[in-house]
Amino acid sequence: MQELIQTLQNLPLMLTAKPASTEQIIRAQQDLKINNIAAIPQDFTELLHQINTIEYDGCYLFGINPRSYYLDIFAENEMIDLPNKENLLILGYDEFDYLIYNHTKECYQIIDKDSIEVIQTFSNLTKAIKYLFKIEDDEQYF
Amino acid sequence: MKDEGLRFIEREESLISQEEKFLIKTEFHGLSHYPSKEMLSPYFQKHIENNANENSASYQEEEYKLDNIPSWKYFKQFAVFKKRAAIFAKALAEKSIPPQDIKNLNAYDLIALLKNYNQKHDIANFETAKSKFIKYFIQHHEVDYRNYMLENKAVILYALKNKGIELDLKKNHHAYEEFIEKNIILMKTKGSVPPLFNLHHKRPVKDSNSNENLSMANNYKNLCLILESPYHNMLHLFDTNILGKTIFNRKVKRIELPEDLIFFGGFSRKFQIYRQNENNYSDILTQVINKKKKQK
Repeated sequence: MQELIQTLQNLPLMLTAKPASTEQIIRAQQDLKINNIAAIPQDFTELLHQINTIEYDGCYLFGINPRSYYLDIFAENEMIDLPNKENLLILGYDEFDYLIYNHTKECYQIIDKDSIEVIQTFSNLTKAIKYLFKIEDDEQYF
Repeated sequence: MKDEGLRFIEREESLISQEEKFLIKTEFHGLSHYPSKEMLSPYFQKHIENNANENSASYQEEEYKLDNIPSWKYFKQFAVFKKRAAIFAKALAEKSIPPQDIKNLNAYDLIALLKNYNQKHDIANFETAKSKFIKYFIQHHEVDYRNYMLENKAVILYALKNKGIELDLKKNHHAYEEFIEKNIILMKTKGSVPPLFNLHHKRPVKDSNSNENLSMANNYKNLCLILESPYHNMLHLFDTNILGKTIFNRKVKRIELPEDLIFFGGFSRKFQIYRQNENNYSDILTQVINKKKKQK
């Protein structure tokens, strides 16, 4: 997680808000639950304590934004029309895809905004966020 | 809205395939990651598993007729892929894929091969359509962009504040101007989308059903730099899809921006920037011709 935070903080002109407090996160979890929307996963809440919302090069990560609907995890999820909201939580997006957490499968997924087709599946948050922000991956599978 | 050049359009359009869309996304965002293994063709998955003897390649790149790959008809519509045809052939040879088998490959396989080849041979990835557009925009409209940012300082500061970001103007009176200059430098050097803005596809990628020219989706005429909140979000909230008889025959209703609009910072025309470089170019040409005539 620390490596991810450092990588994100080094992105040039990356905009982020003040870290989210525990109270803010609890309130967001309550709002999501009341509205039958999936909960924020544990490792994402840990990230919010250090980096709360990211906007970088046309890619966005949600967080807690008490001032506006913009990039606020509850407001954005309430607004976006995604089926199976009780199990899927949108965490961010780029021009074409959403980054979601799938509670049923307990994994992070990149899904196409229009077709909802799963493009990529990740077992951990770091890899999912690196994919969303197009941070080059050294991984090889040949 | 009509007066400001925005039109609510109804079209009959058909969806594009996931492979076509994947190529549009790759041209736009680049090759930062491999495609998911699940997307690879069964043939290629099996080939990767079995192909341990990478160095025993017994095929020459000349043996590969890329047109035999079904998805090559999509690839060759993009200049960025078409001009890398030789690299695709080298990558196929390097992985010892029998030329007669390439008909089994899909678009995801080819992109995986290209990324792997680039990685292995330390070849820089191609410049993304996103980056090219931003560089094009700032090259031609730096003054307009700077003026917009300076004239709308209150709006931008409010937008930043709404994101929970406050520039410390008391400590540094030039913080806002420095913020603009940093944006401009990154736009020029890296082609980065500036904070608070995003790129909008005027005709959405899902409806890029002109099979003959998929690359038009990321063409600069189809892109527009737009304030993410509220305008970009709003444009997509207005998207209305009315299904036709089949998914290949449906009506789509949405707001479309004019082709020559390159920057959208508000509904009024004074907050918008239009592509004028072509006009300027012809103006310059006319001026040069007239000057030469006078000299004669």
